[in-house]
Amino acid sequence: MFEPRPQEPAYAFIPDAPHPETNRYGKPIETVPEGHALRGASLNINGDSSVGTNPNRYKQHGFYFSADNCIACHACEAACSEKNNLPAHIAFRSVGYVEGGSFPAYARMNISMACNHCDDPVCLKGCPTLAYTKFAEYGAVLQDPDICFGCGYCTWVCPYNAPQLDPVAGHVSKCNMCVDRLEVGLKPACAAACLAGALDFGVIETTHEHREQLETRLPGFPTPEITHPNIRFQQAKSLPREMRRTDSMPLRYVRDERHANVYTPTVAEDGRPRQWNLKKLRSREDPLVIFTLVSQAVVGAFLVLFLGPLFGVTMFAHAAHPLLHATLLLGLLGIETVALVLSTLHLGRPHRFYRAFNNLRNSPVSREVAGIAVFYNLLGAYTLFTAVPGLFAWLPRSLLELAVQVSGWGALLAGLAAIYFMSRIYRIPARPFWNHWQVLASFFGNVLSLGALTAGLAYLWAGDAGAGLAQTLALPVLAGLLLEGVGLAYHARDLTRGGGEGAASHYLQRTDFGYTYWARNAGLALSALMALALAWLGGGALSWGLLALLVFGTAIVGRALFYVLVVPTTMPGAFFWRNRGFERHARETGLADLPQMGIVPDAH
Amino acid sequence: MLFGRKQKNPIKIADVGVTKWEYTTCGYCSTGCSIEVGLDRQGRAVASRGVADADVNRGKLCIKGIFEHELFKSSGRGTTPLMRDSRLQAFRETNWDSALDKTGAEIKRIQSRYGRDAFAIISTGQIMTEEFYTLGKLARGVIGTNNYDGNTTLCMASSVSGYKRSFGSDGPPGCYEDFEHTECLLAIGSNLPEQHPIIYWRLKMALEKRKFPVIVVDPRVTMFAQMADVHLAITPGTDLVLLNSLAHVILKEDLADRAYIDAHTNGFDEFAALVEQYDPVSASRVCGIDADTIRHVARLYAKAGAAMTIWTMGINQSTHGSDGVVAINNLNLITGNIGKPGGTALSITGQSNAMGTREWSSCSGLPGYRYLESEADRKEVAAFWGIDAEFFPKQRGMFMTDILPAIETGQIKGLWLVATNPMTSMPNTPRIRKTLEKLEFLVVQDAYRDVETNEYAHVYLPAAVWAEKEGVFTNTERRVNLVRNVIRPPADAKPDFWIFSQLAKRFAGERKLPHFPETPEGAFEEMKQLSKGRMLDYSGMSYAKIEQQRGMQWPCTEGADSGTPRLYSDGKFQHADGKARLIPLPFIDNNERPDTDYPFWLNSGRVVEHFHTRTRTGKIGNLNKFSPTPYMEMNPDAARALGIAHGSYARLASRRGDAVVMVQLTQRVPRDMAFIPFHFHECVNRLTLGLLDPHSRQPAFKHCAVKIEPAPDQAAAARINAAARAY
Amino acid sequence: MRRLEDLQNEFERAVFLAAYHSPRQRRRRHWAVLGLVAKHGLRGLAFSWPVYVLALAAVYGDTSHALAYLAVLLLAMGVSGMILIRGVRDDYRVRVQGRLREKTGHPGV
Repeated sequence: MFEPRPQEPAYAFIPDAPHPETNRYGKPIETVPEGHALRGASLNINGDSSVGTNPNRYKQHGFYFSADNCIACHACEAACSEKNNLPAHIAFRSVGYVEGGSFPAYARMNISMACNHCDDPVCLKGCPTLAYTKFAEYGAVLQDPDICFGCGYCTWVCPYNAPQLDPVAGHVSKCNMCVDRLEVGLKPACAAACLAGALDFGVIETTHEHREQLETRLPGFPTPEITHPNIRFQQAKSLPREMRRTDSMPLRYVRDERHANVYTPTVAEDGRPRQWNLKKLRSREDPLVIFTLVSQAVVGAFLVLFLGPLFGVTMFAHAAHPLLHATLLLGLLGIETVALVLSTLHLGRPHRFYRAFNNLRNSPVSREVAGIAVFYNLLGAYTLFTAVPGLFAWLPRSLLELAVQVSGWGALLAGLAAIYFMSRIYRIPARPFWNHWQVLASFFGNVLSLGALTAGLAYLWAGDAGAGLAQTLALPVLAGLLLEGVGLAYHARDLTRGGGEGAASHYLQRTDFGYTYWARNAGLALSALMALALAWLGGGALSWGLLALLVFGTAIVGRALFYVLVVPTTMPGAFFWRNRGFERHARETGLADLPQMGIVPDAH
Repeated sequence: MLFGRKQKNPIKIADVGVTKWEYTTCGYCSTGCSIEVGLDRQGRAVASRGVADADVNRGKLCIKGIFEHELFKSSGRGTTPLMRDSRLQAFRETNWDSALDKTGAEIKRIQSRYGRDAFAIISTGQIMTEEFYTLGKLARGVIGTNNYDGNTTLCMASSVSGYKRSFGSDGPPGCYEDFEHTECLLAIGSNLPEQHPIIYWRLKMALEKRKFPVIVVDPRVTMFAQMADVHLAITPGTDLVLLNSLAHVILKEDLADRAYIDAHTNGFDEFAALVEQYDPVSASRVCGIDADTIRHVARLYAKAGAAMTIWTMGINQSTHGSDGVVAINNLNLITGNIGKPGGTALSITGQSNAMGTREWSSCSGLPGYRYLESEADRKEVAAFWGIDAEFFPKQRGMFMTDILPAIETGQIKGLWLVATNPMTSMPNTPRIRKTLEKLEFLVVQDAYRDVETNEYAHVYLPAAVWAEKEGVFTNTERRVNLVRNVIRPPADAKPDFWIFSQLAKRFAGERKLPHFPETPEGAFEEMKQLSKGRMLDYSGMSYAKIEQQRGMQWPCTEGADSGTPRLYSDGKFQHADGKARLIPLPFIDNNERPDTDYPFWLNSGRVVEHFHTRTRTGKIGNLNKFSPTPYMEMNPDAARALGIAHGSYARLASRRGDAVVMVQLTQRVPRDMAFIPFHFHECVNRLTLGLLDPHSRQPAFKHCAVKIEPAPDQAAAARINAAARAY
Repeated sequence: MRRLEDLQNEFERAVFLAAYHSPRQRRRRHWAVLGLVAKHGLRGLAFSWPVYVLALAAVYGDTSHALAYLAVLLLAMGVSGMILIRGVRDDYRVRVQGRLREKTGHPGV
């Protein structure tokens, strides 16, 4: 059990204050009722089997932050890092700020944020390895770094940037509510360390001494509707109408006319020039660019190949060109293998990849991995049965034919389901740029366009296909491109209308990556026209090759933009710490090479 | 099971395995927090925590204190003495005997050739009081140079001077507990949340119990200014005008405490006559604060039952720093706010043991607040040390900021620096470089081998840091607190106490040496005897008592159970007649003001995550990451006119030199001001002028003029910025 | 079952190490490593078997692209090997190293 200091002062203990039965969202504050099976269990902290003496053990606890008082002294951050023995590049709690007004009527509002141990933790739902647990004790959401394999999906879905992916250790860790301190009635280290009466802690929905408000909103804080976070604020001082950020995100917060405490995030257009910034297209998510595009192309190529004969493309039948058919299948298997390898290596700890199936119930990542795994296996089986029939000479023909059909249809359905789940991964409320049906349209659009192009490349270049093939295959290519284009158009419109982080992403799209964005759009339009021309006039291997080059190039740029442009709803940072722009600058100029900068030099 | 069925893992929470906690006092700022350092089974320092029952911090620590245990393994420590004949050669490693022999020999050579005062010593505010006392004994009683001062001249000299002029002696009269009793707080040039967060916490707790008005005077909108009830955005370099005007209003509206003035002060008439000229309307034109506000604040302050003023560098680092402090004392004297609960003029000190050097180091006089100018004092100390009283000079020598120019022009040939880094902390870095080049012999004694001043040293002596040695510190409120020796210094580094005693032996042939006690506790005993019956009475203290009480405020007379919270509670001051002096202070504007060529004020200051020149905090990632590279706060309206973007690099130039910094645009600074934290080497002090206060010789770090332009080649600027510092 | 790193007392550590270095314990650790290699190897195979279809194709089927197939196969085997080694090493560190093994011998308990 945690040992309080001798003569531990009163401020360090959690006060016993009155609270209602349910929180403001209607959920009971008591996590499990008396007599429940989960009651009385030990938290097994570091193997210690004792049970804490805190009388409010089964009540949901949360932080209480008075933005009126925070002076940004970093004591809470430091106390947390010291207690959890964190290296400089990781912090569970961070203090950032928003500022507004004009000298001397200037106001700076600091925000200290760690984990809010939400009622509806999206990290828990999204984690494929089920590394998260919401405990009945204190309602704490705790993550187990030993189970985690470092995919970083929880860092995407959390609106508050609570989970921290450590690129050096290869796993995620986060605020643990200092449950060891809670067990003996002490506040978490951060709340006990606060030097300005700003950060406090207790049972949720309790108003603390000398405070009057229980707000759920704060300028710079994402809408609480996403996860129902267990944090309450006091922010009574008058603030200017518009609050700005000092980190590199083009966002500002404008006071809502109707509700004084509600500040709506809006784009902060800062007059930045339009650029290409091709170098910045590369990021940590490069393997995912390749993985998603390749998987979509492979599923699409298989779709076209398998269903082709049903639509009159008889040359796609195995019997028509056995060698080419087999080669294409083996080629698809090969590149899908490469894509899977890349995707696995993208994990912080690739040797734990098999844990991805742990959360099929809730996590779109688990479902997608399962879908791809089933597709890959069935594609493998189909390839085996059709490309290496010599092995199965001993089987009766009808049985082999059945195996081929079952594995083929199975692979097709699994592949399509996998792509659907792949798109669900990106429907994250905390990432408005992604949270649009355009993802589905783009992914399936790519399935059609990239798939048909791949199949066509194999047959037009390596085989002796007739002129008609290009004409026929140009149709799914065109359909795919149109689907994607329509999705992107609606996306641009909805982003601008929606405001907030989505509009900010779109602003970056039009400025920092402005030329790239328009080049991508032009590429899409041009390739659609070319596909139309091919569908009408027909073509040969050369024109098909050119079209493929254009479409693949556009797709790669487009997918990279997708990953790089996202502006998450995360908390405002400070000028150096939690400022992505400074982190990038430090890496580029070599400042990050010093360990005491707190920036991992190549977190690529 | 071979194919792994999962069982619920235990919750893993970091446990660094502390087996023992040792008592210390923080070695950074002068708040004087009590810290327990946690040692693990192998005796490594792995954790820090605040001492729960210490009165100063009551279990809390600020960011620097929380990570203080990481100091012991920070990089760049000195591990062995280094020596070279010329600064153009590489250092070669050597042993203590050779290094100390060479140092002793050089000192003697320089003194014999050029005179006793041709060798100067500049010490610090960060070593133990016993070490200051020992260094003082060595400097005054053995080496005999009169050019001996400390870097406290850069930080607290104005306060010392002001207290001496007003009250007859140094010694801050108040304590942190005064927050609990005061009815009005005036904070001038002090940014508590950034510089003394624990003192801010004490203030905040007092405010939550009982709200009282807080007035903050600062040219920037600091967090302290935001939390205040009234923020006076004063024009830089005009504090005295404001203070005189406040006094004017108080006298004019008959709000002064006449009884107190008559009973306990002298010089009222001349003071009143001078202050008469500072009516609020004329004052407002100079200091930038409108007349009504001046009157409002003056009335608030005078009508409060108890009112207190605190200040730090904003007042001290100015060409009228000493006058500023005297003006604050004047204000408090005429309102009867000295020595009573909640009524005081409390200077918030900078370094962890600046008070210790003021009390015991003999820089400005003799140990225990004694004076070289007093024959009785000279005789008393000489007798105590067993040496000839004629060996002492009859008045104090040069201040640090005059010693360096004396080196520049060749009067001083040798210098010994102890735990201070003038390459980064002195204004006008280019001039300091040229100065240090002229030295025939420079010996640097510091915990860090990579301290920038080492570039010019001939001998480097590696010293222990903080709790690698034992001794006491005195904090802002006169609390003497203990630092236990928690861990051994690395490799061959030694405590400064040992180094001083050993160097003394090199002079054994020349003169009769005073006795140098073997242990710090032995020196402490000497200090107790020398302080008995005086204002800074230590005689009732002992290490055990200090640890048990978590610090004791002097005076603590022999046999007393505890210390004394306030000075001058009886209204008896330290001037010969027992009264305080009201001193008339005409304002002379001696500042390099902005003009058409150099249109911006350059203001410098501190950030909470760093301390001084970053030799310690720059190595600890969890501190350094919050301000890893130099930056400047600039107003966006001014920046827009010059085409400077947020997060880009700008080039500043002054009449001294230039510097490159990253720009942070914020409306927190006025349109004609740039603010740069001073911690970074080769940065703000390349630009500063550092005009000196006539009384305290403290430089005006916060007042000079610069011009700003966007750095033409951003990539080159980034490279210059990164290359200028090793850490 | 206590681990070496939990023991603070020099005497307890000496007793533990005497048992740890005994031939019986060493044998059990070797079996544990074999078990871990089997576990991770089989697990890996279960996930990646389709890539070995490429090997089969190179041998039994269309040999014109054999080189390409083999290249991908080698890449996949390299990655699998790395994952196998890391997995075994990780499990060894967590479950075997510094512990005394029971008779059941399975590294998962």
